[in-house]
Amino acid sequence: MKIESITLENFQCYYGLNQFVFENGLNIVLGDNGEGKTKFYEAIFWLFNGDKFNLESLISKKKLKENYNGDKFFVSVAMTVTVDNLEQKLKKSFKVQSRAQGIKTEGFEFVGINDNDIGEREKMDGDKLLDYIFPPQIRRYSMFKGEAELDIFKSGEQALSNLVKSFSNASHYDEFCKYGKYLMNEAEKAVNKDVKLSTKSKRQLQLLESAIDKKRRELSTLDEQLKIKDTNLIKIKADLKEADKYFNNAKHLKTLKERIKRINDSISITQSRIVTNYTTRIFDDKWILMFFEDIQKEFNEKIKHEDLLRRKEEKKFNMEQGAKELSEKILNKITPLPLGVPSASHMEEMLKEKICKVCNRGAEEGSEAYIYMEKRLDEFKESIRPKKENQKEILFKKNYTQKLFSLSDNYTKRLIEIRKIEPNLKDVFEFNERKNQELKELERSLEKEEREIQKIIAKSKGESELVNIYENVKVWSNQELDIEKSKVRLVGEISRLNKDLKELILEKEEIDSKEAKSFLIDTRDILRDIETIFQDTRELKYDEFIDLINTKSNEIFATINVDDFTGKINLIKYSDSRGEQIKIELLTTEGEYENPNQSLETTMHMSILFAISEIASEISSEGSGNYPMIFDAPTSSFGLKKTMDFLNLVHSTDKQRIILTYEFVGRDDKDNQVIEEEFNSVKRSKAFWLRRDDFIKDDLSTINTNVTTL
Amino acid sequence: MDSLFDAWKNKIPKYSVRFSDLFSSLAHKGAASSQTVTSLGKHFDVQYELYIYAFFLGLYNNERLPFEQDEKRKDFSREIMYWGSKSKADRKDFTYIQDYIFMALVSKSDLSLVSLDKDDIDIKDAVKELINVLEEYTNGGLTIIHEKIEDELSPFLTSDSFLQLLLKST
Repeated sequence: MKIESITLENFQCYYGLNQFVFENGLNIVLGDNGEGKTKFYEAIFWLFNGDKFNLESLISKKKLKENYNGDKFFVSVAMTVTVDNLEQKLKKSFKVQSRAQGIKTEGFEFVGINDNDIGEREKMDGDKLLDYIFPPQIRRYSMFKGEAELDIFKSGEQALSNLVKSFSNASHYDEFCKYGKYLMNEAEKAVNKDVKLSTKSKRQLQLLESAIDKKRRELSTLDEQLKIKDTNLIKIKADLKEADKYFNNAKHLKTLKERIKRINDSISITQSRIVTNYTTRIFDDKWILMFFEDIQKEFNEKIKHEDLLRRKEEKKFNMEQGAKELSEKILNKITPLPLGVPSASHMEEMLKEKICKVCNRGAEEGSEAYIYMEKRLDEFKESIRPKKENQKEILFKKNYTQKLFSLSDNYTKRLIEIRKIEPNLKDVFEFNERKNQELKELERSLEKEEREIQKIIAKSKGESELVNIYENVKVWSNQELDIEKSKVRLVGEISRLNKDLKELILEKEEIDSKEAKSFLIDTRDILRDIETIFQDTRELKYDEFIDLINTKSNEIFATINVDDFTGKINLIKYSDSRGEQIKIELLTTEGEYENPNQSLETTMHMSILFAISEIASEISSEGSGNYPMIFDAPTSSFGLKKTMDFLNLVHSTDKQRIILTYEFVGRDDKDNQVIEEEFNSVKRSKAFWLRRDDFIKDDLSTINTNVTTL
Repeated sequence: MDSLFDAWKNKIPKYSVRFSDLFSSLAHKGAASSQTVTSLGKHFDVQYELYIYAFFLGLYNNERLPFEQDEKRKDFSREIMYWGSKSKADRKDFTYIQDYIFMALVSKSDLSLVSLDKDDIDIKDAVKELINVLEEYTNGGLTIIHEKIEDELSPFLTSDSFLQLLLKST
């Protein structure tokens, strides 16, 4: 079978019709993350497995927006294949109508068009045609998403029996074994029945049978317990193996996370110390006064000037006042006698007697001399009476501006505070600069550590899984030890029971030989041998099949092994509580290779898958062999170089493989996507490049993937 | 008898309603913690801080801008005597600012202190003169801020924007 083409119509990010025409051999689909690779894989998966539910999620949002007016359109995935040189078509589709009340999907169908060998073309049920050209048991081993899915034995559940049923005739022997066992049991029953006819041995036989039954039940219980222990032990051993493989990474991750925590703490402290409250400090730290010194000087000058003015005016005023008083006192340029001369009593005496005794002349009442004496007496009396201040004439009647003079004095003394602002600001800026540098350094360290974590995760496991490994490895080790101990105890008990059982059976067989008819004993023995032959043959066939996978896997492994590993793949059959299982190990000359890296493991799993595919081709009906295989991102752990080697080796196997990968898509100087030069060295039959149109973030209706054939 | 300083600090100066948006966008109306102030884009804890800042910006840049005739004005109901009082745990008292503003106003006004104490000028007129000077320089400062916002796209995004603007004063 060869896939000729796949056509996607309005399927998710594939707007309109998008056709991929494939060749035999290696077909590579390139695309950066998010460009539509997985959607392409999902389209094929939907073609093979999708039903009529949840169809809305499959519709191209761009097409939906364009047809918002209610026009109908189709969403479909179609595949054309050739089987025995005849073309077969499969198409799954539905119709979409977008209306105001919502999206309506209808007409879901899966149609097959079969070209038969007489040249007729017939329409048929898609599922039937698909199962005919690409049987489900083969499809099961043909499509894989990511690296984890490649290990088909990991889940364990029925993996081996599914494989055998699908690809080996060993499964026929299961029926023989079943029937052989039935016949043997019937023969046993016949012998027992015959022995019981003898009344002598009946009681003894019954006791023996009951004891054998009891021992078998006990044995069965213990066997069951042992199988459970084995299953648990295998799981724990696998976990421990995994843990051992990743423990150094887990430990490194733990160290890195602790470092990151310390860096984050330092970042918080540094951030908290960086001054950011500049505006409040403009006021609280007086930065607002940074240019105030000139204003202060201007103010001081004004105050000085006003003070001078004030004193001048005061002096002038005082002088004017003094002169006024003096002028009143100076009369005819004669300096008067001081007040109190003559004394007040003499003056009163002279006024009473109306005689001026200074000039010895009469001084009648109302005369000039009499009035003069009266005035002099009043002046004297006035002069000895205390004077009230407000009665004195003053220049500055108000005192509004007194504070200004003290302001000038006080703040001149404090000019130093203003002069400190500039150096203080310089200090703050320098401090912040230093802290910002520290912060940048810390952020660089943080990025480095985070990159380191990403590297660890990329080459090993997810972060939470690694943390789980680091935290649980001790618990698992203890559990392993406990299980080992209880297994030893169980094995001992089983061995004792087996011994007892063997003795009981021997005892019973002796009675059988003595009491039963000889033809019954002979028949039983023959049927026992036949049952053993069936069992052994079945085992042999299973082992042959596993050997076949082993051989083919190793042939392919030798071809596609990108790590030049010289060891071998070894598939081992074992039983646990789930049934028969297959364990894969890598063997070197020194024994099991415990910790293969991810790319080696992936190569190993791919080899097994390719081997199964070859076996499937060989046993399938004539001509239809060689089934295609489709892998989405199977080599994520490889890196560019290993992926190149791997693809070249896959190409050399000359089988149709479709591999989707994000490798080889890089960016140029302008951040445009480009195909890296290394891709020129990759041998392939065909290659495609998926790129999305420029789109608007958060607007799904602008997303459209373009397919370019390289 | 009150001093000129006491009479002056009892007053509430006004600003042009043209700048109402500046006050609502740059300053918090009530009390906000300093940490949240900048994160909300409001650099000033209270409105009078923006007023004081604008006054000094106008003063240092010699931008004394009288109001237009009939220009509508408004205030934020906070007398000068309360400016700079410690209101929150994470802030300091900066009432000293009242003295400095007063000194600046006296320097920049034509007020004769001698005439005032001689009672040749009414104290109300003297206070009015000082408030007028305060309002005109603040008007100048607010105009500088407003023009910066109009000329540049988001000029006050960083926490040091207002300090840098003040430092550029010539």
